[in-house]
Amino acid sequence: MSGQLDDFEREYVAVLEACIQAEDEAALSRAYELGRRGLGEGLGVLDMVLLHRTAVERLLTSAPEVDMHRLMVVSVDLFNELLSPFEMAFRGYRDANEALQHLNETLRQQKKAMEVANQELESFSYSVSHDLRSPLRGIDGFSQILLDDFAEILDDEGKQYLHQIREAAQRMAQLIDDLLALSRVKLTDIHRVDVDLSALVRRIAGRLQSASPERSGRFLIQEGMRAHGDKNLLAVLLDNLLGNAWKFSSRRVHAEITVAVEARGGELTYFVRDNGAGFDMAQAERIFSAFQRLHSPAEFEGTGIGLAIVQRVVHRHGGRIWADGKTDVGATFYFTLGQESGL
Amino acid sequence: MRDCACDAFGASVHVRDDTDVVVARRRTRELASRQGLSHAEAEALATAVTEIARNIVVHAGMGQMHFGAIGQARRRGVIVIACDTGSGIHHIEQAMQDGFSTNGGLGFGLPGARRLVDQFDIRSKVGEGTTVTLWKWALFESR
Repeated sequence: MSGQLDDFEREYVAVLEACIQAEDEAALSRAYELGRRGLGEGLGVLDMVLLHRTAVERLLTSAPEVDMHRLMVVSVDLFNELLSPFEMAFRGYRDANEALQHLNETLRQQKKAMEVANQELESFSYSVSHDLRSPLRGIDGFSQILLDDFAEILDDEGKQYLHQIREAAQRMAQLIDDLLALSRVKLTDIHRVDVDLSALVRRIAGRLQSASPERSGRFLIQEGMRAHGDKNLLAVLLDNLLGNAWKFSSRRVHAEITVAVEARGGELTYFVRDNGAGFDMAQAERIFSAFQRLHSPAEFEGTGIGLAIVQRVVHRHGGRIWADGKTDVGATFYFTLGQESGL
Repeated sequence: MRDCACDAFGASVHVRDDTDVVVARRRTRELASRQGLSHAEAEALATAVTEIARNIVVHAGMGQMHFGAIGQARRRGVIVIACDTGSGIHHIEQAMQDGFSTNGGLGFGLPGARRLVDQFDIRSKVGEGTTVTLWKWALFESR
């Protein structure tokens, strides 16, 4: 910087001297170009002030007999030129700043409006879900009473219908529970802690296996997996992913579910892989949307909300989720947990 | 090189190199002073003229600048019309944005000049050239 300033200084002193001799537009233009160059090279207004002061001092030392009145008039004009590019840039920054503030204000308002709309939607769906549950309990409960207390006056067909009513009511209750879980994932705050992911996976796998002891499926769980995330939400996420893997591999004699982590491009990528029913990659975009089901309830039961919950948990962590699969071969779900995850 | 289509009035300067930029600045100051512009107003207009003239030298190679006195008794000002028959500007909106430059310069030429004057107009046709018009008014009535 100092060598660069020396160059500027030499040139500026020369311009000043020329101007003292006979003030002319060419010298003023040179001062302007000097200011423009200084601005382009990152010098500031105060650098220019110092430059001007040093140049005047130097001139006074080398030519003490100089006409002071003339020096004053000329040096102000030159200084004016030197600073003109800065004035122009300053106006530019001011305009850009105003535009930026305007943009920020617009964004802030949009964000606020969206938050309000989201909150309203959440509380609406929450209360609707709650309100739907009580009539449903009535339908299920009174069907149960009919089956228990009026069994002798109902024929088998009637009983069968009541069972179907109960099943439908229970499926709907499950659907409502899932919807509530989905909105809860969005409403709760994230508290990141170190989570022993391997232990969490083992616990969930054990629960799934003991719920269907007739199945011989295996879980292959990488040891020492850790994550930095919200413990409750990660449990919800793995519950759903492992539950899905377990469910969709139920037709396999040797069902195998792998849960592991790998470093991809400096980012920890967790994955859950099964050798189950898989899916058509053409549908890969759809599977994370709520209520999207690639299989009929007769094939595999479910509400179609599980993966929407999983995606929401991942997004709440600032991570990404994607899936890889092939029909009748299996599926793999990959996810990351954002910047803060790690070992 | 053919002349621009704009009306020639008042003083005109052929702009080809840095020396002509200096001449254009001198004409600006002379006229600004005659029209009663303040020192600051004249300086701002001279800076704008410098940027436009530089633009002609760098981008079009050559062009013309016309300087005219405008206004009535109560309101006086200076109009500067700069035209060239260079290649024209492909994306005027982009060229008017800060930070845009096709020549590796600072990129504050056109938008910078616009901020220093009261009114600014730019017309350009690819292959035909560019015309920039600047207006600068004396803020106060001259005494």
